[in-house]
Amino acid sequence: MTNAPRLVRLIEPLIRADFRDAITGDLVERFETDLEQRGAVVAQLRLWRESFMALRHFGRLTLPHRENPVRSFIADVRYGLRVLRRTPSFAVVCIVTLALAIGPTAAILSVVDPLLFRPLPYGRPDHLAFIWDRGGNGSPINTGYSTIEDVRTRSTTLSSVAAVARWQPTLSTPDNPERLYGARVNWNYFRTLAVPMMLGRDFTSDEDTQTGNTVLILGHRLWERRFNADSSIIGRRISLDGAPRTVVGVLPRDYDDVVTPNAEIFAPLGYVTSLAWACRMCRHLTAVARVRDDVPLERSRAELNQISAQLVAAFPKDYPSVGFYLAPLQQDAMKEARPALLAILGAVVLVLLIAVANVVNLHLAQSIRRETEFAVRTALGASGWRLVRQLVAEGLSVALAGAALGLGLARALVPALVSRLPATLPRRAAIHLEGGVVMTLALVSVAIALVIGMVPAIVARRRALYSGEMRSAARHGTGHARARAALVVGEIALALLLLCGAGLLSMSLVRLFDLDRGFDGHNVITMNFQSSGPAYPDNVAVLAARRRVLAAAAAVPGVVDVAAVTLLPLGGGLDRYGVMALDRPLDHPERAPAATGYRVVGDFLKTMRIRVLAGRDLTEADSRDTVANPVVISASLAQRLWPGENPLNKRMRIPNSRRAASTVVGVAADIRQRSLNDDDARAFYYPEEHWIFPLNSAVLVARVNGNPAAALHAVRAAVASVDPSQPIIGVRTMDDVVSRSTAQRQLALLLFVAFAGLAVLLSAAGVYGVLAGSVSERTKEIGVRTALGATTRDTYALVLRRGLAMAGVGLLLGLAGAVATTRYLQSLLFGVAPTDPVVLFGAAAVLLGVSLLACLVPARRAARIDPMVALRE
Amino acid sequence: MDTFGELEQLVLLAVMQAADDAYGVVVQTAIRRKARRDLTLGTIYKTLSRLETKGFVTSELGEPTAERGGRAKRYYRVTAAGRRALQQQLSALRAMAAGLDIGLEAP
Repeated sequence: MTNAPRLVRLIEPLIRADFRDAITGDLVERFETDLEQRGAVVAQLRLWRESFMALRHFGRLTLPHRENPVRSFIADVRYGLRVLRRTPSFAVVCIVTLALAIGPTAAILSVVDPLLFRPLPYGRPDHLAFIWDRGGNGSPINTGYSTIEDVRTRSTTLSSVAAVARWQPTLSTPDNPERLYGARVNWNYFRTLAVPMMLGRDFTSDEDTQTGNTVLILGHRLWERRFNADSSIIGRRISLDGAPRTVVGVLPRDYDDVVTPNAEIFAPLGYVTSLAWACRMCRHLTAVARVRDDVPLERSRAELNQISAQLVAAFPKDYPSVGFYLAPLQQDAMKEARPALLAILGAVVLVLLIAVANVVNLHLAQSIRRETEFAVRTALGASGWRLVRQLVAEGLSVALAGAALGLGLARALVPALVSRLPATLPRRAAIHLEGGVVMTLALVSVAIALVIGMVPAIVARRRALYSGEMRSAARHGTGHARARAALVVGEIALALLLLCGAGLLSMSLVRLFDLDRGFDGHNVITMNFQSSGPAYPDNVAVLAARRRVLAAAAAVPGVVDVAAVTLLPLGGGLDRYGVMALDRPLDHPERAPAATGYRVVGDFLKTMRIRVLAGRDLTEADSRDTVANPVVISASLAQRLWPGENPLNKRMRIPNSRRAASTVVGVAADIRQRSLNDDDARAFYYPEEHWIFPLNSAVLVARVNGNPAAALHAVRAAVASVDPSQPIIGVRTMDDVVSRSTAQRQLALLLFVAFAGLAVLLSAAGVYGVLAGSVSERTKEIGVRTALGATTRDTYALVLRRGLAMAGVGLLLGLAGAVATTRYLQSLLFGVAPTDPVVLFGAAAVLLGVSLLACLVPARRAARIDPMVALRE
Repeated sequence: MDTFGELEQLVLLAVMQAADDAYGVVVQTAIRRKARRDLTLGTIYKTLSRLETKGFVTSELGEPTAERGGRAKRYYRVTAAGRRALQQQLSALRAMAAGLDIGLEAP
């Protein structure tokens, strides 16, 4: 017997030299004896055991007693990937679910954070505030310069106050004229905001005068776009509206003006209180103030109200009501967008919750499937900690994949969202995707899934193992089944909330578009043109140019009517004046009803198809009639000025008119002016010729035969041909203008519909998952039932009952939740109550239908179970 | 003075029983037969080398033998110190067990 078994020869070199002969010799001897006495199998098994122990005690390579943590973690990850590959549907569904929820959540958070939460890029932004006058109903309105001066000199709690006026100058270059968004500001404006210049210097006090006002500060984007980021720009003269100004400073890259959104060029205001347009009633300015660092906002507010009381006492005819409106800068700048943004954020958080519930659910199901594996590994000596680490490795793989996919999705979504935000929204430039958000969301979601979904399974298994009661997986799963059903009920409830929100928003939009606008915008195209600079020195030249533009546009084939107007309905602008009936003088002229002024050249009412209810439309002759000075007013204004009387031929006073009184020659139908749901339709239509200072810019409206979009280009070219050096902006169809006026609602609706769809899909997947799991667990039971005479119908009923019970409870909870929460959408709704029963029950019916569909697949599988096969398994 | 555990006791007794022929397989067989304990050779040699460092046994390599593929055996012998230690430990056990009915037959 000289032939030692192969195993012994194999391990021989690995045994310590001083015991090598003794031990391997004994192993051979032992093996031979066992072979003789107990047979080959026992001998072989014993040899394995002996060899292992010999190596353990005398091996030259010590077997690892303590594991290398990095290496074992890599092993965990590889094992995890293997597990995931073995159940690819689990992994794929988890990853896709996470990505679909995390991508949009991260995108929305990235948009909402800079707009609502991140501090503005100014020094101590929490101490900056707007100061508004109060209108007749207490609402905030703009202030006049004299008021701002008084606040500045009297206040002790404000460290500085600056006045701001909108400004849209034209950058005059021969080849590429551009209308810019800018602001005229007090010299201390950037000091108030505590923003230092990146290049050059800030304005000085002697530049903020009528004579010294020849300087400019450029925004960073404008500097890059039009001046190639040239540092030698400081001191250079550039031409604005045909007049030269010297650039003294360039703002830093992260500067973002929230007072005048999108402003990128600034000049001093140059007002003194003696100017006619610096009066208290000349409310065209925005006041920005910095509250002293050591003063709380409340104290400043109290002081301002005292100052207001003094001013109202001194100038009672100049103020509609007492008190200033002090509003924190960020909050006030975002107040229009805030409700929609918060609603969207809420919606996406609901989607995330549903997705997490689904992933938890998938993990619960998976943990039942893997109980055997856990049990075996525990029996082999794996510690609970080791199993948890294993799961963490698997979870990390899923989270990373989900985050990667979600990041891609978010990256596509953020620009799409930004492009749909209202153009007037400040801080759009600060929006960019936060990659960290994506990863954090993915990790947190998976951590939740693991803690809830897997860890209890391990604990339960270990306990079961040690107490010696290994139950069958199916029996063990009943507790799980209840947890999974509860999760699905929650998902359905949340999905219903989203569905109700989507329903309410779409109903609102339908109602809004159904409203009578008072005009017909189909087949109308609009664009903004201007006539400014040295070529247009006076009103005559400006108005002559306007008529030339109208003639050029009218000559384009297909154009039937044209007009120029100073303000476009639903175009986002506002131009209101207090008007008075001459036969009813007011004790308080400051309370004169405000009406929107449309100053027109050409057939505006006809072009817009605004009905003339009484009297006549303005004619070309009216612009030369300096005696009657004709005006057309809206039905609402007629009713307000002369309730119950015939307004025709009545005389009224319009501020800024060249004449003391104007004669009403016609009454026009009310139109929607600021927004589709704006009830205030007081308006007057007035020949631009009778105004003191015609605007340099106007909106062209042209009605065309056929497709308006096709005519856009030709009309634009015709307008440009009049003076190619003048910029043309806002070239679009009137339908587009109307649609844009609802941009915020449309964005909210779009996102709610998308999120609701996702939520319904996820909760349907949840219903399906739970039922499919329960059918496969109960295969035997269903087999027995079928064998005992249950019909297909009975089996269907068995499964459907369970699924519909979940759906029913979920829908009830969801309806209760909807009633409690839809009021947060109130400000986005129109013409529909937040608890509109048609919408709420309609949404519930849709979700019930989808749940039913999700039940049918497992039900059919259950009905097809062959009792013989089921029982034999 | 060094004491030893149960495993060392068993191995030491088995070496004494085998007299001059005490090597791994013999010790293993003795323990399996008489003590009904199935120890692996690795465990036995580990115990023996521990006893050797305590000075209770000595060992020497024998001649290579043909039936083991030319591999030498390592023989063990109990030293006087080993005997003394065993004596003390067993008499302590006997003293403690005296007069108790623990189901052992009289020797």
